[in-house]
Amino acid sequence: MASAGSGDEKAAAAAMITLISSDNEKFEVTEATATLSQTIRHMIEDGCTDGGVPLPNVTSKILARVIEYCKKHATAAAGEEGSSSSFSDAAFLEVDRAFLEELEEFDDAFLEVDRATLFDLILAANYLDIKGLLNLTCQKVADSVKGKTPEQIREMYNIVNDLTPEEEAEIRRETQWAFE
Amino acid sequence: MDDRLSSLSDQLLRRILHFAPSKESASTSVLSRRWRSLSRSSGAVNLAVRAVSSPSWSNAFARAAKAALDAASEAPVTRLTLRVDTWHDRASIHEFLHCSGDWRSTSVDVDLVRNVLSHPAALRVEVLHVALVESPSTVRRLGGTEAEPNRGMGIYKLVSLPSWETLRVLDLTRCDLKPSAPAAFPRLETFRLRLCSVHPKDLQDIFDAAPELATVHLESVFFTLHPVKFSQYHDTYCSRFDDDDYANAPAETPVASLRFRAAVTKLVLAWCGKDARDCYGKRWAIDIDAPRLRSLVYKGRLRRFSLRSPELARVDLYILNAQDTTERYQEDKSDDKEAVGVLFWQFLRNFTNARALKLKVDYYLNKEILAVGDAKLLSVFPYAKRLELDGVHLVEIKAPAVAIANLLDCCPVVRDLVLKLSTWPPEGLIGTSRLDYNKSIDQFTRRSKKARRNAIEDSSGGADRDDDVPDIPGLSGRSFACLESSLRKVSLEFRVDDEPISSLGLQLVKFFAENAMALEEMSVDTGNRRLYEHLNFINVSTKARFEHRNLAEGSCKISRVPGSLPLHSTTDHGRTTSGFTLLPLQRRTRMV
Repeated sequence: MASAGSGDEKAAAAAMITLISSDNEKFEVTEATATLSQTIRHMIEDGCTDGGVPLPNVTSKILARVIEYCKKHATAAAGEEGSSSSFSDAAFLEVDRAFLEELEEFDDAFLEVDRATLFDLILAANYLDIKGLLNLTCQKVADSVKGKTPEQIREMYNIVNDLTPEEEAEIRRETQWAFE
Repeated sequence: MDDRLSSLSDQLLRRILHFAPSKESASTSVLSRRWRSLSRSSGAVNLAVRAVSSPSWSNAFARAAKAALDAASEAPVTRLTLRVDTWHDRASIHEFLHCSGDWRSTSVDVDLVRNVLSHPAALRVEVLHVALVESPSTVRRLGGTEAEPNRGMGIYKLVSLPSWETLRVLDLTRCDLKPSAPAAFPRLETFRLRLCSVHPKDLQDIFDAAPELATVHLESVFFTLHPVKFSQYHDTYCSRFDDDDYANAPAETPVASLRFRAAVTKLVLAWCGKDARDCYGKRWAIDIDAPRLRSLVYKGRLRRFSLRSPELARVDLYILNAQDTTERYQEDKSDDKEAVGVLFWQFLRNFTNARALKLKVDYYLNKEILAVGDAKLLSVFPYAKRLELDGVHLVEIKAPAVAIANLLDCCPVVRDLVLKLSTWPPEGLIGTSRLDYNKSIDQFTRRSKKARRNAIEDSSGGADRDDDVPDIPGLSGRSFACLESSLRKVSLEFRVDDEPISSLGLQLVKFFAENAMALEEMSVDTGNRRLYEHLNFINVSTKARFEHRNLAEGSCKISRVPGSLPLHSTTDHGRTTSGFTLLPLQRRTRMV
């Protein structure tokens, strides 16, 4: 991102990528935002982003949220790493604003979604290979089992117990410490 | 209910278990056949326990911790967390960690933390969290103040870490860190310390040994600035000083010096204090060398602070003064000699390169320093494009306006200005301070009531008046470089039912509407009532008027009356706009 010549820099800063959701909606994002996704980063490196990047596994509703996350985190990261010469004034203001609002607050608010959306975000983060978003969303699900018994977890997530009583008893013996 | 969890791949379920507490994670093995071995390959052990001073409880946890680590055999453990909390005092955590078997007898030979960290499964850990929290209320009480330094020390002394080579994130709460052997942290990226005491030299050793360290977060860390004598380290409750120690106290202010390597770009120093065990008065200074630092968050008292970081771009400051009068009296008297105002502006000079500055100041400081009579210290922030001033506490009629004027003077090229006004005194303001505070608010309310009433009548009845919102003493009529050409966006936050401050808020709306020549957008958040109801006065202002409103969005377009440019405008009107958009300030939007 922080390349040398000022002309190139402007071109790099302005490079836009078009993402196309499963329901054929187009999203224009900066390269910095898009490359938070390792999947898209590799596509850019391979030079196969002309004409847009089709994302058949991600709906427009979820993609919009994912982009919201990436934008925020990309600007915050840029603020910590970038050198002042590689940004336009407007880009810098954006970065400044991101810094002054706390990222954690953004993440907390971002996670206030229903369970179905949360699972969609996990799948999208996994498919697009966005590590931060994947960790954030998985942590949220992990938090939901805190203090719950296996029976409660089964009920919460509709998990069918296909173990025989003997098998279950055996596992409970093996992991007895977890049930004390 | 839709079972989406089971539709995830095994790899994603393991990722989720990676963050789950070990107990729950292990218990998922009985959920179904598929779940049977997932938790053993989650790559994490997250231990959490509530400490009770009971040998059987302590031993049970030690067994469970070992079993959890033993069970994590199918994938390398990269994340290890240990959280011990208690509703009781710190002693119960100490007893819990070192319980030797007999009731209430402890031994340093028994060490739960050491046992966990030295388990073979922990050898390749990348993310390590150790938190010993005596009670949630302690954290609440200590958060946001520098008070109670006696309590701000670790409960446990961490001398050895499991994996110097692989560690990326090290996050310790209430653990004093004193590595017994010299170490190298070739991969350490994030280092976070909370609620502990540490000698700057020990910190320095860690910084020097971590070439990749990028983020340093020190919160409620108490620096030991002089050698401290102990009979036994863990026996912190009864540490005593010899009289000699007091006699040998050096006269100069002790300094906490920190030298960061080139990789450090982000530093948070929040509520850090000086370990009171060395008892040489409360004054101390901070000296920081951080050649590549990009962003700094400093929350705490005003003190001598020197920072060398030429690339610093973003600064977030919350400057705190003494919280109550008792503490003010106890404060080292020499603080008074060193004029608080001078100290404040000297402090700010460390950040002259900042492009974005957020400043929140405590009530007293607002009164004493921000509103110093003349801002002879112009252009303190010649590059600042964004300025945010939070909590302009109203103390007397001129103070907030003068404070705002001073800061506008200091930021000649600011484009983006955020002002958050409030009359609410900070929490913790008690006794005579509260009385003083109420008195000044009353005075202000009396003086401004008339103006306020006029503004309300005008906005409800639409009575034609020439200029119902008075000019602002200390602000109106002055010339500011940023208003001439750079200021594009103003955000104002105040509550319209917050009597005295709302007058100032409306005055500021008018002031910027009339004087900010390049303004493109003004966002106003008045709390609960609709914005346009309060802004009719702009219509009757001589210099600006409504063009049209968009009631659905609550926004409106305001244009300037031609030929109404202020007298001090220069002939260069290249950047002057003919009008700007007025918007209700957008609070954080949330997903429905």
